[in-house]
Amino acid sequence: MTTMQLYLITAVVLLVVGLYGVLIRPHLLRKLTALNIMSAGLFLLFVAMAYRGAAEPPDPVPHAMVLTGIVISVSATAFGLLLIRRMREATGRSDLPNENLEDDA
Amino acid sequence: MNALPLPDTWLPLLTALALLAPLLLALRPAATGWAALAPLPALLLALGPAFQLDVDVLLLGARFGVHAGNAPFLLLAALLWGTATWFARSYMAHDEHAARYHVFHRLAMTGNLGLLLAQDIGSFYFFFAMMSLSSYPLVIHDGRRESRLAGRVYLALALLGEILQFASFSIIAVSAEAWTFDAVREAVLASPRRDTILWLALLGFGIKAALVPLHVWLPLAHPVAPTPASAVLSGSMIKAGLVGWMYVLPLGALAAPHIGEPMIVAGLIGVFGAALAGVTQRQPKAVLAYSSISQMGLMILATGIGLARPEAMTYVFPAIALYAVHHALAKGALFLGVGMATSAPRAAAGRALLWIGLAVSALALAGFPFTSGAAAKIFLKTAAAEAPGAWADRLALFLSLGAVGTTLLMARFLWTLRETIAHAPDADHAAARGIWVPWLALLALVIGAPWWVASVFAPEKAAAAASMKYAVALTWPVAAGAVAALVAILAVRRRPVEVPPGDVLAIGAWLFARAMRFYRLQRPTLGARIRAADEARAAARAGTKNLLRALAGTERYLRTLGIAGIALALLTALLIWRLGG
Amino acid sequence: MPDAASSSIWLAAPVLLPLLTALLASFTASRLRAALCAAGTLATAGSSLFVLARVVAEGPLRHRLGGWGAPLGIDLFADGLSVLMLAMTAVIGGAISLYASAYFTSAHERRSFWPLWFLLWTGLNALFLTADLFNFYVTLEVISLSAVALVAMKGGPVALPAAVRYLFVAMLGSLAYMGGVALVYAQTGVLDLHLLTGRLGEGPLGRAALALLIGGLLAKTALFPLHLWLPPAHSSAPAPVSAALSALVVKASFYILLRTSFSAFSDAALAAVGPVLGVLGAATVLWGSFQALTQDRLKLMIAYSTVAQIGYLFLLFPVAMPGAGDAAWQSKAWIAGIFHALSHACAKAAMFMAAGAILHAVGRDDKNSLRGLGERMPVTISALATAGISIMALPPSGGFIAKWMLLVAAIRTDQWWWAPIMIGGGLLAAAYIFRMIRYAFLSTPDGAPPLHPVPRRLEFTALALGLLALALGLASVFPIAVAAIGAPFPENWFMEAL
Repeated sequence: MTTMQLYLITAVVLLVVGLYGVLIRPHLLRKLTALNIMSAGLFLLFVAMAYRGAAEPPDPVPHAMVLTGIVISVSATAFGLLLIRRMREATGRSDLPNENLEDDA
Repeated sequence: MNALPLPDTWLPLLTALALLAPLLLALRPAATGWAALAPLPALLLALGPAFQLDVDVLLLGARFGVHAGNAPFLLLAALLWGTATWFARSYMAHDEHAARYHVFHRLAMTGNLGLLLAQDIGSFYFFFAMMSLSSYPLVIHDGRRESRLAGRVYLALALLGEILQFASFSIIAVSAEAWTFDAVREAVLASPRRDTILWLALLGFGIKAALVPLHVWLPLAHPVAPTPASAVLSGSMIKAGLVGWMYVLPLGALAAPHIGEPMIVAGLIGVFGAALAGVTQRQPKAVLAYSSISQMGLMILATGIGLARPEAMTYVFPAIALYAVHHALAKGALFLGVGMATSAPRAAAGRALLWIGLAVSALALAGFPFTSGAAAKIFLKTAAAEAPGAWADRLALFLSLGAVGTTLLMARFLWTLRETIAHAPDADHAAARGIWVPWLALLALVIGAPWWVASVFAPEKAAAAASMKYAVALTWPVAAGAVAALVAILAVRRRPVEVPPGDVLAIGAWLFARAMRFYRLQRPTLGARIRAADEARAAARAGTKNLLRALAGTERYLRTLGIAGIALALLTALLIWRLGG
Repeated sequence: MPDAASSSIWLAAPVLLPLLTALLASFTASRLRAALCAAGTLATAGSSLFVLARVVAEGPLRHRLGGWGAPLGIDLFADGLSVLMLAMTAVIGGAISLYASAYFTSAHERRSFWPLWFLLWTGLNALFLTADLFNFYVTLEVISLSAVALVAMKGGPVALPAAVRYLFVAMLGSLAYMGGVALVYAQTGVLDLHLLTGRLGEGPLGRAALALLIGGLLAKTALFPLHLWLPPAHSSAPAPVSAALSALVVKASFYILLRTSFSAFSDAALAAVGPVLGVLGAATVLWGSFQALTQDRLKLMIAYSTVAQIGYLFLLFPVAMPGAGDAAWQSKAWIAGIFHALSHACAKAAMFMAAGAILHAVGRDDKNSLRGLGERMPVTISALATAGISIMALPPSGGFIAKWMLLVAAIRTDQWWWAPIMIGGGLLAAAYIFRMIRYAFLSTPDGAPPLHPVPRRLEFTALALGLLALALGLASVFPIAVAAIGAPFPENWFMEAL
């Protein structure tokens, strides 16, 4: 198994594990964590892509994109945590209610 | 109609005024007397020379114009809207929702005048929709339960009509790239889908023109609207369907007896069916609404003649135009007369004048000699004589019998109106004085205007109609109708039956209920029947509820994040598969 | 897209000005903030319209920020399509600022709204001026995060779960899109749309890349069955936010799809994807309309109407895709889609603003709360009605022109089966709008409490946008001519279509 393949397989495993968590686990914190796991898998993919053989230096463009992606991911996670906390304060629950839209005003 | 030598430079300005004046007045819903002058530019255009005005920047290119084909309709619309608006000013003065009424009255007026001036598909469709939709608040104006029901039926059929029109217009525009009506008629003539277009146009405009059996909304909606609105609905707006046919059908260039003859039959059913249903009505306005269906039946059958036999168009068009003008003014005067009567002039002189005016209008509608109806009937008979094949002979008799029916309807109308006045609360209508002038003005128009139109079309025939030549032929149906009415009044002190307004619709609903009951019936005891009927109703309600619940349930199911994620994954897989294949 | 786009630093102004306003608005005191936001609105909208004027005069423009150029640098690019979207955002955005200045009264609301709103505006303008797959991702994230925050600003047990759901779908969509970008880069080594022309969708890697890109964008555009987040979020947000979301935000991801598919997709790929998008669009029209028909609350009805109207946008793909038929009709369908986006933006913003005014006056927005409003709030009901005319696609509205062109193009390219969907969607729209507006013409119920006084600015802003949606139909020539600048179809076809 080459290093490249190892990277790719790890990335795919992370993506699948994350996707499972986002879709199936009801608790929002788990969902948010799972989203971060997915992001990590994706970033791994980018990082692996930058490899251009032992002779050449790695491609800087994917690295730049991963850095941007990490920044976005961190801020989205922070924002998501705040939202989940606010929601818990307002509704007393930590999972998504299948809200009945007729009830509110 | 080439009676006013307007300079060419005025015409674009007058067109703009004709469309904008009522629209701008709708923005300020005060009960101003100026509103009655809003149709004046349209009236001048109707009397002026033929012209055509292209405005390329509007929509996909708009065209407005006046020509022999729309001038009579524009004339009747301008006259009737003018007097009805004048009438509404005082009549609605004490209505608490007067402002709302005035807004939609004027919007509907804009739509009505606009669709008559429009000479391209887009503008026509726009103004037609504007008229139809603005009339809805007029129908439900008083907010009573029957008004709301009538409004719902009206809206459903109006929208269905819009869709059918849209379908026929889009086939025309797409298959022939025709946009103005001149080109549309040629395109229809040459189109491989000609029959589809003709049927769609027939049904789409037939709803507004009260083509049986699409007329069900009319006897529900026309009577419940406030009186001035009933007058314009039954007098002017009802003609929009007819105008639509004149614009789209290649009349005079196409022989389509397979559509024309069914139209003649539908027209005849309207003439007699509406007369029969009408004489059983208890409300004077409902009688008038049925009379409108009956009269439109005559115009529909005339259109059918023109479609079946193009050579007849020389006589058919003047007959339709004259009949439309005559019917609009007379029916308008009768409807407004109901408003006059319920606003109850207490003085004896006023009452006498009211009854004389009503009688004159009623006789005109029945086609009594020397009234405007006489001219209209003579023109119609000339057209009917041109009908294809055996129709010509049959129609002569049918037209006379139709006049008997109209006379009966008019007698019934006056009778119910008398009863209504007798039972009306002592109205103290401060507005009563303000509605006399417009009503008398309209009466003068009823007596004079159609004769003038007739003399423009065919002076000799108009002169003949005014002579003693046709007196007997015209008198006997009216006399027969009057005798029949007298016998009916003497013989039938209590009416055994009343056809519910909306006839076919109501009967259909009743039959459906019966069928459901029959289907459910195990033991035909009274209790079981009632239970079965209740069950049927409950089942229908439960069915609707289940459908709604299923819709909402599926939606809630889709709303879970897991389902959405799986849908996203499946969608991605589907796209990969499509891209591979 | 022509390569000889001239350079212009002006392109950065519609991005930098709202960003600056957003930053300053976060720190300034409330009195100063009002003036600042007014100035920011004028400057942003003005600079957008200036870019529009420049593109009309000079053709497509390009600016390399810092002189770096692709692949590392960021290019700003503007052609007819982008400046139309920019101008749409300027007009609707200006109206939203005007409306919001009267709508939000508490200091807390103002502090949350203004910086977020300008951040959203920054994201929108930046997205419309981008022609690079990765920068699309970044700008889309700016838009999504500020939009979610705007939904959440009201707080409470309805808005917050709606915001959370919105956030999760948006992030999932972003990840899918980002995955697509990674695969595109792995295959081609470039992300700039001009360098990618016609290269996307070949080979197994390319197919996966394209599917992920499209899937992510569909989730963000709320196409059926991925529309789950839209109705709760759009209906529970404050009125100016609902207007921005429905009128502008959903158009952003649609714009990316429209732009990339007609430049970067290979012809075969577009022809394979087009019918799928068309079918999903048709399903969205029907599903959204039926759901709108069953709603009893005005804002929810409007939100589901947005779902339905988004569906119409996707009908352009099968009609305009390569091989669909005569090229003139393809370009007509493409224009029709853009025109629909414009007129829907005006009409839908007007509707949400009117609903906001009603909510403000009556305190509720269920259908019974509309009773008697025809007389008590004539301006607002007129706004609702004029916007409704455009949604129902009656002439002379912009909605009519758009659907008419699309209908004609569909029939002309022998795809008549889309026609019943378009006509049926219009009928359903008429049904759900009348079902609601009917109540405004019933009399006021006895004992109804007096209306809470509504600032006139709320009512008249809504009416102005409703009238604009109507006027778009009367003056359709200018937007069509602008869209033709740098369009992915030879220009003479547009002249023919005009």
